[in-house]
Amino acid sequence: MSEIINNREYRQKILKELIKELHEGKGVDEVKERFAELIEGIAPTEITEMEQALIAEGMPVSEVQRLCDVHAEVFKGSIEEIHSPSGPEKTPGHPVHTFMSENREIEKLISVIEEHIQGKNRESLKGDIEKLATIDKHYARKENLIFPYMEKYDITAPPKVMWGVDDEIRDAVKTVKAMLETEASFAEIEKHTNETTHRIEEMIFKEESIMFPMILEVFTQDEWMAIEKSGDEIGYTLFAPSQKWAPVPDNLTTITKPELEKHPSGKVKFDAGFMMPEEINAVLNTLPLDITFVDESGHVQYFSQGEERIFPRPITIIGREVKNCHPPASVHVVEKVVENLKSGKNDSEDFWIKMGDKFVYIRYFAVRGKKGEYLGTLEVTQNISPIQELSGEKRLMDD
Amino acid sequence: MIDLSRTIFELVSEFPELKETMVALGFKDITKPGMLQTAGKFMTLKKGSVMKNIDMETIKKKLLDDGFCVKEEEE
Repeated sequence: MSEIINNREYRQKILKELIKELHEGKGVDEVKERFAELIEGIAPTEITEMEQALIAEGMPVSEVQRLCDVHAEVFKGSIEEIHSPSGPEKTPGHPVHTFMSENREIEKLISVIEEHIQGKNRESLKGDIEKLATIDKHYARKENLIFPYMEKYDITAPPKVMWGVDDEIRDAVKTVKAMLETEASFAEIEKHTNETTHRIEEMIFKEESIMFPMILEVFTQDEWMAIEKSGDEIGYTLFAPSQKWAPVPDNLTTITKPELEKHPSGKVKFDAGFMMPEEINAVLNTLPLDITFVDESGHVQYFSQGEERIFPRPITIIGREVKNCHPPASVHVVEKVVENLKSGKNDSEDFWIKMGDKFVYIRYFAVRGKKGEYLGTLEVTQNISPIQELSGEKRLMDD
Repeated sequence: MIDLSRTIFELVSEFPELKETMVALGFKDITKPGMLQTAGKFMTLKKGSVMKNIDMETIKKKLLDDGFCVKEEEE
């Protein structure tokens, strides 16, 4: 018997049957016992895995959710062992919790706005439309923090559509705001306000019934943490998370962390975003300046190959010690610069020289890791004479 | 048999001709590449009706007109 019970596939099959029975209307009490028997002695994570497998097989999430009631019954109070305190959306500080709390506040504000409309209270309406305009923060966090990860998982179409609608809503709010400054009739304002709030409510529905469930399934805990961390920079709408989200370290993600740095599609992960290696190379070559990177041990590791390099660098210098790549007359200067950057005495050192019609700005920066440790020196050179010549303004495109 | 609470992705996988009906109803985003495989897995006709402001009765009628059977949800 135990061999059978221990068989993963067998358990999976039973689980499926239980879900089917629940779907067909059997009560929680009826299947509870068999469920308890099934899961006896297996780790809560395996139950979650089994559920994930069922979802991957194509079983609708809503069906699998039927099991939650059974968990609750079987485990009584300790359901959090399986599902974190009944889902991230109920965990204060989690980005989804924050987004949803903002939505509740937005809804409250919308009902207040509706009251102002009813009472034809132009002044109060003005103040609350101002408040509504802060919805920009909610959308900006979604667009700049959530969408990049969705794209990473090849979920590209929904964010594109959603961003377009976000922008329309921003414009609609602006229009109402502007109308309130003019002599526009109240009927006109009422019409625009109602249209706007209606679209906002639709967006809330879209976020909560499609987007959040979708991303909660794919984003890793590390990704949620990165999203949560950047939230403050952009700001919030009518709500501020009262506490930081402190998830229980997820063993799985810690172990696979090195792999997470690299996306399966070959993209390289940065602090903000992902790029393919050939994109990184092309981007660096497109920068309107030349860069050379010398590693911590003083060896040349990389230089960009823009169209016009100011100081030509033969490819053969890669891997060589930087002091061997300079004329003896200047080598001691270079050594001193690197030494000061390395020791932390300074973070940068600038020089500027004339070279024919070029005015060359040469800057050396200490490159430091997240903990401040010295990783190397970055040399940035740029011909700034065209920049120095700029004056006045240029607001139009060249033909 | 169109179960209104199943996901659009599942339904269209099973009945490819449903896509055309949905577009005719106004669910135009369904034709955007990648939409069905992502949001479609979380979208149901019920949610779509609320979201796109398309009356459920209109949807049911169009489905029947196009030769689909509609599975009513149990109350």
